[in-house]
Amino acid sequence: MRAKSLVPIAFLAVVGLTGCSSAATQAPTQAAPAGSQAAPAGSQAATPAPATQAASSGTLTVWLMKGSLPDETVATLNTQFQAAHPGWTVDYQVQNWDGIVAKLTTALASNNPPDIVELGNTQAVTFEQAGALMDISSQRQALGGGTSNDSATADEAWLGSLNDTSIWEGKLYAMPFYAGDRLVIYNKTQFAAAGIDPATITSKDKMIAAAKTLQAKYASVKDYSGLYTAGQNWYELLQFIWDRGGDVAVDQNGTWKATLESPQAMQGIQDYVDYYKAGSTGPADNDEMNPPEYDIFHQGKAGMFIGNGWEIGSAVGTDGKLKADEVGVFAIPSATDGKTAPVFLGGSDLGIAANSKNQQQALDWLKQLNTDAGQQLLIKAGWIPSLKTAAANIPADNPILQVQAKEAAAGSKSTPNDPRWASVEANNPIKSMLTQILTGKASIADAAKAADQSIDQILNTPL
Amino acid sequence: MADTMRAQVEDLSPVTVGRRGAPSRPRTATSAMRRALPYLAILPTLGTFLILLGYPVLLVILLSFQKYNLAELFNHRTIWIGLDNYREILGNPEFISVVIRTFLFTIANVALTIGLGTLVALLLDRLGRWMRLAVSMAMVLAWSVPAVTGSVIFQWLFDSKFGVVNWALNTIGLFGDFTNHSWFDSGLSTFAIITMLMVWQAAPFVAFSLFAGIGSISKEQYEAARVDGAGEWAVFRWITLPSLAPLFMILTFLSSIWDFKVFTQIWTMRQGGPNNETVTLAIYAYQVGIAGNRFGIAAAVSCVMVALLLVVLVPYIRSMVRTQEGA
Amino acid sequence: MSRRRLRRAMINGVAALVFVLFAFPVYWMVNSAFKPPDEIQTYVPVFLPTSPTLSNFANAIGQPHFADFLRNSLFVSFSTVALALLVGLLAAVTVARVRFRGRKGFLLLVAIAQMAPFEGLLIPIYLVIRGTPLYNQVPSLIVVYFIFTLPFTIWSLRGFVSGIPVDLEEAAMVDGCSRFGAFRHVVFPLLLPGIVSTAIFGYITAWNEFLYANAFMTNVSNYTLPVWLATFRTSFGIDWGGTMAAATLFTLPVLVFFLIVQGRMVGGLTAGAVKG
Repeated sequence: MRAKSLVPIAFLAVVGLTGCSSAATQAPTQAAPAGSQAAPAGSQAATPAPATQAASSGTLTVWLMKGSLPDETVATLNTQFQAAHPGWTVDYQVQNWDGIVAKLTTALASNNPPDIVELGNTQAVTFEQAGALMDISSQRQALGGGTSNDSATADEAWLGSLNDTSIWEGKLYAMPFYAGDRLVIYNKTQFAAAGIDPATITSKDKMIAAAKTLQAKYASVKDYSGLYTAGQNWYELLQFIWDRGGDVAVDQNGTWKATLESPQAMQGIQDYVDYYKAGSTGPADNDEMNPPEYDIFHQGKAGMFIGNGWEIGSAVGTDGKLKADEVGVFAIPSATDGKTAPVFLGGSDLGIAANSKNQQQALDWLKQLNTDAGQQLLIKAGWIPSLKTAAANIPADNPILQVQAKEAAAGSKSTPNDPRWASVEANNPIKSMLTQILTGKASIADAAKAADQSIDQILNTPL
Repeated sequence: MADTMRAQVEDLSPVTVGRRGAPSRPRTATSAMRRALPYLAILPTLGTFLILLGYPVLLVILLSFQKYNLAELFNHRTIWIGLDNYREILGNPEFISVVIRTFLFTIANVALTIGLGTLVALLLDRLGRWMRLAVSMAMVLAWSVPAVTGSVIFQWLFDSKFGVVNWALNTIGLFGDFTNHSWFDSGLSTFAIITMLMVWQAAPFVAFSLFAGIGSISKEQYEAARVDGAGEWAVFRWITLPSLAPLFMILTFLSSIWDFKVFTQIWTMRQGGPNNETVTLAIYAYQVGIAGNRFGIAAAVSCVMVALLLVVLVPYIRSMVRTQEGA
Repeated sequence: MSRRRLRRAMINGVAALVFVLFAFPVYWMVNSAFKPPDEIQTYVPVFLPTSPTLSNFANAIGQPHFADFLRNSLFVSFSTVALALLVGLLAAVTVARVRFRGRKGFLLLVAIAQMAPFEGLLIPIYLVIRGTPLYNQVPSLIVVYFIFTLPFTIWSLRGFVSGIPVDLEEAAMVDGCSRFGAFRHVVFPLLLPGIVSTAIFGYITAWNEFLYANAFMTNVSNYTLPVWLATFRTSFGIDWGGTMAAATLFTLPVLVFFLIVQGRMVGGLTAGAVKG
């Protein structure tokens, strides 16, 4: 009996240790910063105070991911922020992608969290659902994001799929930051030598035909691929599936249904198999980072591959074997001639910690990004900016980004916006499915069915 | 040595070091303090285990009976759900095969690690100085490579297209065509690579320990046996093996725990793939718990893991303590 | 005679094979660290980089805050080892030398503590620590690593201590040494190899630990080297060359430490466990 009463006490003791005295009984409404804390006035999430400085001095901690923005860009933003907020400094820290979810979890749940965090757009929903982030629904317009928080009736100023990942159950918990997508990266010299004009590649079939022409021309180069892809490049696969009108899973009134078995999805998988089998020498049992596809391209062993915009830099490399002007890009063609395929929109959102004591200042920092100047900074960093208007007006001196933005405007999607999707990736039944199919161990129908079962099970575990 | 120990056992007073020749002292406060001394000496350890370790362990047990997802972590909510977490784990049709797989994997890894470690130890004992240094160096290097890096390198070596192993097998040409042979397309084959990696990393520790153990066996015993005409095997079986028995027990105990719980190597290699065929309990805990930030479930898997370890190893520890204390 | 030579040759042959098998993956790591990106994974293996480069190393060392990471790692690793040795030695000497009630129970507890689920305790330990001033402080890592290396430390040291004949201490005490003096002048020097070999384990554990270091430190200047090892996977892909160069640098201190102490270590390693 004694033990029985000790158990909750022991737990309360821990909760007590965290410094929120009434926390255990606190109503589970999310995101409101623990009001009991000696927070400066105006930091309440629900009451959008005018953009005056509530506290006369302090430090705003901003976490961005490695590779997001160049140091000087961040410095520009911080200088601007500090000019408008005398007495404030910005502590800017760069975080690694490896282990970031664990790090964000512990940091955001602490009493002294970073004020602003960058979240990969597929990770954001995890923290939105958990109440880790400040509810900024009332700030949408002030942040430049239009009026509606309902992702279904999109009256939003932000790029569609980025906007979706910022919303959970009708509330805005994050601000779209930037996006990137994939395009076809090709070797101009090899295309010219094989007599291929990239402008004529307007469908997937034509892409495969071009690959075969290249392979005939470069038959003497060992392990040459006209188009190169790793077997387990499942992001690429998703694009093929979307192109045929399929999807990986659909939300049916709150229940997820995996749909890789649908005829559209299976057609997309078949397209991917054809694409891989057109002559890719990539491994059937590994993904696009093992080895990185851009390294194969850099070695001259691939005529083209579907890669992210930033992979161009890595593909060119620094050793002079390949010059920047030898590398060209074009939009990923659809199976339907003359159209571009839907792309997977990668990117990031920015959130304000629910426990942050500097939420007003954090909002002010975020607002800087939605100005014209702010959007131009993102463009200069090589990203598709978050605002549709800015994305539609990429300057002509950035042709690669123009192609990417055009693709995104034509149609972009992301993985199911649900915290449980992270568990799907931890299992990655899609990778297993691809290897099974590509090595001939299972038919498309059987492998897709198995993958669907496992996705269904994970996506429908109670939250 | 043995008789000193026995003398200690006979002398049951709390502090025995050097007691035999010492004049007996009257029972005073000093004597009470002496009796308390061993407890004082183990107090920091006890404190560490019972409080610093014990308290978080208690929390893990409590969490395993709660719905404790990311939301609960942020909202400080406590939601008791009884045995639901355990029900979910044990009710998963995969679970029992994960458990069996984990045990088989552990047994295979421990056996191979100890086996290879023993062979290398015997080899080191027979080598000349330079050769011994060379082999030791290779061992130390293998041991000191970080687990993640080791896993990446083994992945590269066994890569179907870019791997040195396939290239070498093809170059030798005696074993058929290994072009594009995938070492990771079945669970068994993937496990074989993971096992190679684990043995590569763990055998040096075993080898060094056993080598040192062999060095401390008196040379007279060996010579006597050789004079009696005993062969290599007989010497190993009747002299080396019995002398090293306590050491073997400790090494087996430690290796079993390490291999049973291993996560990094398996995860880095293929994330439990292909088709979840290399999912062991540690990977399972990650997939059902940590990846989805479901800490209650993860805690329950941890508890089940430790319970399984306890069931299997406690009798073993008891006999280990007994044999070593009784000697 | 020739049979003996044959035997010798066979043993050396086996040794060479063992050497190659164990050294090859390490060689591959170092080899890759010197390669430009496009030579790291190739269809025909590149056994020696055609144009060796130091840029991977420069890149690895040039990461911001490298000096902080190194300093933190050294501090954490050495403190963990020192703390675990201090506490562990007290307990080990006691269980090896003194008969007291509950001793077997204590040994059982140490063995069970060895089974504690390191990964599984991350969140509970975090819950305990997040409200304390220790959170986001480097010393919190020392506490965690200390807890997890202590069981092994005690097991290992206990074996070494019981391997040292009690007679030696007695003789010293008859000669007028105090018990502490006897320990210090007689037992301790004999125990040194054991302490060293035990220390290496604690050191490698603390030096390599990523999970807690990543989750408990929120300030970049408080990170340790394993976190640095993870910086080469970025949103710009994975810099394999940088990873391998960092891993090479990362293993060096362990190797150097080992080479310095290996002579001592082999002398007395686990002698106690054998005789105990």
